[in-house]
Amino acid sequence: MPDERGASRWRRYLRFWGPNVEADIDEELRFHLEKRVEEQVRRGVSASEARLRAMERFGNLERIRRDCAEIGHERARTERRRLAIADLRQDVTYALRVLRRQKLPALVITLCLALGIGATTTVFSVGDALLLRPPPYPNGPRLVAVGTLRPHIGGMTVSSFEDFTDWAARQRTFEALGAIQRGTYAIILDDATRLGTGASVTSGVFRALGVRALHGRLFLPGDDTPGAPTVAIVTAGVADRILGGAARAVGSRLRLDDRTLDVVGVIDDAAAYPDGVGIWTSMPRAPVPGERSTRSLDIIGAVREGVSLEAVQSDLAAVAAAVARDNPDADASISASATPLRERYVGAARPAFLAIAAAALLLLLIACANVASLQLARASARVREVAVRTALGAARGRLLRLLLAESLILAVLGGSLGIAVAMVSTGVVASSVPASMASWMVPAIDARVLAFTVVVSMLSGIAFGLAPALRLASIPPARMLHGGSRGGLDPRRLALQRGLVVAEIALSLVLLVGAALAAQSFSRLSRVNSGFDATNVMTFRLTMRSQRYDASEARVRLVEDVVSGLAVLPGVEAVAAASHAPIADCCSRFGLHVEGQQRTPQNVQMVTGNVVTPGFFRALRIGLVRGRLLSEADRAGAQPVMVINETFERQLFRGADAVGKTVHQGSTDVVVVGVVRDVKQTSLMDAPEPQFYRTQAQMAWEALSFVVRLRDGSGSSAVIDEARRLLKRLDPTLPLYRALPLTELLGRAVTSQRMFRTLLQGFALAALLLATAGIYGVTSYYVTQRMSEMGIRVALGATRTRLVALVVRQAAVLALVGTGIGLAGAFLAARVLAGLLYGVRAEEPLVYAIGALVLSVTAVVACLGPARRATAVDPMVALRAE
Amino acid sequence: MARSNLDVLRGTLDLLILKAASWGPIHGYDIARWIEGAAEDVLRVEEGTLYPALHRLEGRGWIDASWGTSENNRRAKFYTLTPAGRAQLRAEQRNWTRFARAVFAALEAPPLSA
Repeated sequence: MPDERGASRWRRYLRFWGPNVEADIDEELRFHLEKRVEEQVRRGVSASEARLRAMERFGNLERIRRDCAEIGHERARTERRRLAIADLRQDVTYALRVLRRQKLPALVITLCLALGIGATTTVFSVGDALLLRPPPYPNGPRLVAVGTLRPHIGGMTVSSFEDFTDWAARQRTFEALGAIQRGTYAIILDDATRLGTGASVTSGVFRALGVRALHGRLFLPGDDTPGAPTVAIVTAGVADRILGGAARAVGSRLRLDDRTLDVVGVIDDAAAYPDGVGIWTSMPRAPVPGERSTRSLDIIGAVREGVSLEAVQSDLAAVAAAVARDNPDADASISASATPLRERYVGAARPAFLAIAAAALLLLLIACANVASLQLARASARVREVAVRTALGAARGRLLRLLLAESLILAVLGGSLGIAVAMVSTGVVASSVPASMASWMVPAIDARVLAFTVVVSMLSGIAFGLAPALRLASIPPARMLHGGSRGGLDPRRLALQRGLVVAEIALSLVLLVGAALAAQSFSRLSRVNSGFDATNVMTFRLTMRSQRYDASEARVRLVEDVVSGLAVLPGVEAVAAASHAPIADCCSRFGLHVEGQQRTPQNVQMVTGNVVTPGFFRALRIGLVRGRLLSEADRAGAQPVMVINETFERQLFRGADAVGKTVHQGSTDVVVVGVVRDVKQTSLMDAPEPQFYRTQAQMAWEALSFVVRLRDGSGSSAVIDEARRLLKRLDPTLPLYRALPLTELLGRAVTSQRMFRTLLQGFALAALLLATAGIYGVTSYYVTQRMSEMGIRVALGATRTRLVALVVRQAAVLALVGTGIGLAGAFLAARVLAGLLYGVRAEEPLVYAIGALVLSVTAVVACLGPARRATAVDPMVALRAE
Repeated sequence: MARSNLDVLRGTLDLLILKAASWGPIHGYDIARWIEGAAEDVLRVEEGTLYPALHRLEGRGWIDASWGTSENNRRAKFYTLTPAGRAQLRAEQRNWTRFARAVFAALEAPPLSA
């Protein structure tokens, strides 16, 4: 009878393939009615009468049919859904079982994916931070930095207040423009003096940003009016720390340097611009005709909605040209230009980032090639299983799904692990982001990045699981079964697998060479002759901005007092101060004319200048070439003198002996008394620029870096403590800041290069690991497939050495071909990379040789394991397995 | 009389179907006949309404349906109670007995004394 569950399942199966719900219902209902008619007829009712009665008893046939059909279709739908879920669960369970059985390959594939996805995610998070995320201000996407374009000086530079005022008044493309004078303030509290990063800004800055005040107000146009009182705005963070909370800050008074200002507003910390600033003061300033060439302001603007950057550029160019025509002396050949705010930070880093992104992509490719090759190996090991399943009637689609399920599980595992990898590496990257980057450009793993990772994982899982799956499913079962244990030794498949490994080796070599070049560049950069000796030198910085230092004598005296106070300390070898410590403070440029030059504005030479105390050269061990160093005798009132560097002499005096010659600095005639060795002032990478040194006594700078040479490395913090004590005595309102060893400051200057090198090295190491796994995989597969052949060879008297040689030879061929292709690729990549790296060329034979050697050794090592397995083969076992 | 009976029957049709299917595979026509006979013709049902109810119960997994052959070798759809259906039947039956007992007790109860 019909109570077999098999029948019910058969029905369900029919349903799965689209049951005919209506036909079933009709058949069931017809049966009922016919039985009823039969019964009536048996009782003696006429056939036609019986049919009528049956129908009457049955009720509304049409409605009942409709109801049943509705129920049936609904059931079919849920049934299909349930079946799909059940199938999926079955696929997953089965896939998990397979993966558990083959732990090692599964583990290797997961790790490969994790490395590839981790690297790609890291790079995406960096790219997201650098290139995609808009600045975190309401007008973020429309913000541009505006700057002065000067002949002879590449890129955008700072602008003068006079130019800013005229440009702002005449432009037509900006919604708001604001000028910023960055600086530091001594914040004088009741019990201490702190240094705050601040900026003096026009009211346009906040309008351009589009930020709102949390409390109080922002600067208004009235605050820009000359004669208006200077007022301050602080961030909520600063308000909390020094003003007793954001709510109470408005109306309180703030002592900055020697001024006391009313706080009129508080803004959110995240709304701070420039990044890191905590205090803004208003800029009630009037243009002064003679100051047009004093350029020290940053300008920020919000472009009007819908106006293109090109339109802004042409507007600025036209406006600047008009202003230059009106002021030919100061603005000869001066123009203005705008850069999107993000670009201002990213600009120079972009090529390096793209190189890193390319490296990460290579790594992902290698990982995927590896996964594909391992999957192929696994797949061919399972040809028999698949053949049996297919022969037993497993649907091809179902088989595909099974294999795909495996790949997706691996992708999910690899992706999750990849996220962990990315979290670690993004942390490393974030910690080494150069200080010049805005804080909102620090990479982080956020939802966008995670979404990216998920997409990448799934795509790589599908792409590299589907290929082997399709391959397997396309083989006719008969052929697979016939193939016996050697069924997998499909020459085409082996070729594909070997091709993948060759590609892997080639790509790895590209990465290895790239990383080696970066490492070499960095080590050359670290050993570059900076022209000064930074070891055992402690530095700190002072800024004398209050009224008591208005007189230059006061500034000179304080610096002298600090220098002489520290010089007597035990352990101190030499002390000096400089307006610009090399690398750390970079530069101020001054307009000069050298002796014999026509003194026209067109002829002016912008030269980097440094104001120092006479002991500076001794403290940093900068060598004298000719003439004399600066001395205590070069005081205010004495003959103004300068010492110049060799490049200055070579370029501006065309190599002639400069000692005794005159240099005109504005209206001052300065005599060159000596020539010193070149020092890397701007960056370690650039060639030295012309540079001059003058004494603090004659040029009285207000912000100076002190350099203290110690007899040995110890006691550097003791010196800073002493300096603080000394300052407390001399002027308690003067904050001492940036107390750091000079080597540390130099290290910061190469942060981005170090990061570049570290990332490339990480990628190269990962690539090497992946290539090892790939070679191991393909060799292992080769050995497995040829077990019986090995057995025959052993039986015929082949020695172990010969067997090992056989296995190693096939790996060596792959390594050789891969290395050959890789060398060509590496050379191409190196030519791009050399442009980004300091002191290396694309042609560095040693680098290529080392790269090729490392890879070859790796290849041999990777195939030793499988080779040993081949020699361990027992001829009888191997032959019987056939 | 017939009208009101019908309403009662609708609410309890599911219960009766489950009961009918509890002794083994049975087709719709026999279920209808059993209900007719067992309920002493008092609870007469518009036979057609049986089928949507059957299909609904099948959908809930309380009865299982399968095609088989009837006594005179014709294809018919047979229904069997599933374990879930058996549990449901027990629960429903308990509910009904309790309900019926309550109603009966109420009908026998003395009037409310002031």
